[in-house]
Amino acid sequence: MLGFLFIYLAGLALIIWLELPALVKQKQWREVAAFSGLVLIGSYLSISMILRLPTPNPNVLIEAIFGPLSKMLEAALSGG
Amino acid sequence: MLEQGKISGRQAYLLIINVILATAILFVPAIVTSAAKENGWLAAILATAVGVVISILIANLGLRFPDRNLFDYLGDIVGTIPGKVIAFLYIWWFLHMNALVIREYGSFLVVAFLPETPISVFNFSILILAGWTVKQGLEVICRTNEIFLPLILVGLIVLFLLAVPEMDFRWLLPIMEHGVKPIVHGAVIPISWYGEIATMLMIIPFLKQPQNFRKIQNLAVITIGIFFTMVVLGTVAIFGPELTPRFIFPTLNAARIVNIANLLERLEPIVMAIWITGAFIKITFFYYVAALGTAQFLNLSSYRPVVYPLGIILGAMSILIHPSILELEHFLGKVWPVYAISTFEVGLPLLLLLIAIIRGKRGKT
Repeated sequence: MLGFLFIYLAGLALIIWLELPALVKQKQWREVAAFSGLVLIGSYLSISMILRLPTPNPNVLIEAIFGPLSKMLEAALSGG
Repeated sequence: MLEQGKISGRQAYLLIINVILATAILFVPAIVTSAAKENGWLAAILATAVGVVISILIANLGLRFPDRNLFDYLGDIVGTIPGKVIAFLYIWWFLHMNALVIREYGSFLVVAFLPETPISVFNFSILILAGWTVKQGLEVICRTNEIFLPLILVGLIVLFLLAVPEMDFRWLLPIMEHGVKPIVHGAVIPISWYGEIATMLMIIPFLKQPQNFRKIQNLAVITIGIFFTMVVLGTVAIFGPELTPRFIFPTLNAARIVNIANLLERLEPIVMAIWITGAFIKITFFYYVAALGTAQFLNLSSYRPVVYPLGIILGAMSILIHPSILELEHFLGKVWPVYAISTFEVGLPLLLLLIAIIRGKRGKT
């Protein structure tokens, strides 16, 4: 698990090193903010994936909304 | 515009074919025959007909604003704030769909060829390559596809021609024994694949001649339909309507069965090559529209800074979103079609088109 975490952090460091200096040098603060925000979201997801922390799964919500509709469709189309 | 590249009509045609066909081709026989049995090929044809209708809808919306893409004119049609909400939902959909495709890609390689390797190895290695390609822009994606796709299509045709000696076309009878319902049922999931054509709304203005898009798109959908029908007819004629739906990847099993004079056999590497190159282009294209959309959503000057961060998110999502392959299958089979078709593939484009017509919004023609 720690090995994976190390690989992840190395990859992250590489990405930041590739992207960020050029953006800061050109004073593109909007892009810097977007980059940092997305990296934070990505890090949250990746670290909870690696450490197997419980993460909210949007599929549960999607299934709650569209599941009943899907069952109705299924019922209407089967047993014909 | 954030993208300076231009693509030709032929490149757009090949891109649409790959985006829909490349991953679906392995599953399509199992999906359509599980409900429609020996009439699976009729379900494939029905899905293609509905696909043409969806593509007409998409073309009508996209060509009202031939010099701008979806995220650019959303605000004009529904107002700034609702436009941002819809744009956010679309970004979510691009990422979610791509996470599913990446998961399918990894799952296939693990299940069929390399059972000892962790799935994250496949998912992250394809993402690194895809991220790098996305940074090169749309033209590079399309040119890569111009090399891969003809090989994919020729590979499929050769595979099924070589399997002809194993086929028994009596498996395809009787036609429509149980009426129309099972055929419609079998067509639902393929319709949601055809609906992925909605992603083209993001790249219509990058065509050299956007006015030809309608024709290109319909032609592409029909080409895909011919391949779907061929693959379904072929696999059902080899395995019969009872066995085909029990495979996860019937096209792979069809390749395994080919044996010409004990000389030409074990053709699975063709299927693996089709899968890897096809899925690569598909993943790259969805990744590209997600990056472009995110940059437009946040008003950035370029989409390149968000490419790698989105890759991190995609990689984590592809693993996290489904604890197991059974849940992936359940979600793809039962929830995904309704969710995708009703919202992103038909629902929202239709709503946007109606509002645009009522409010009389259109771009330069």
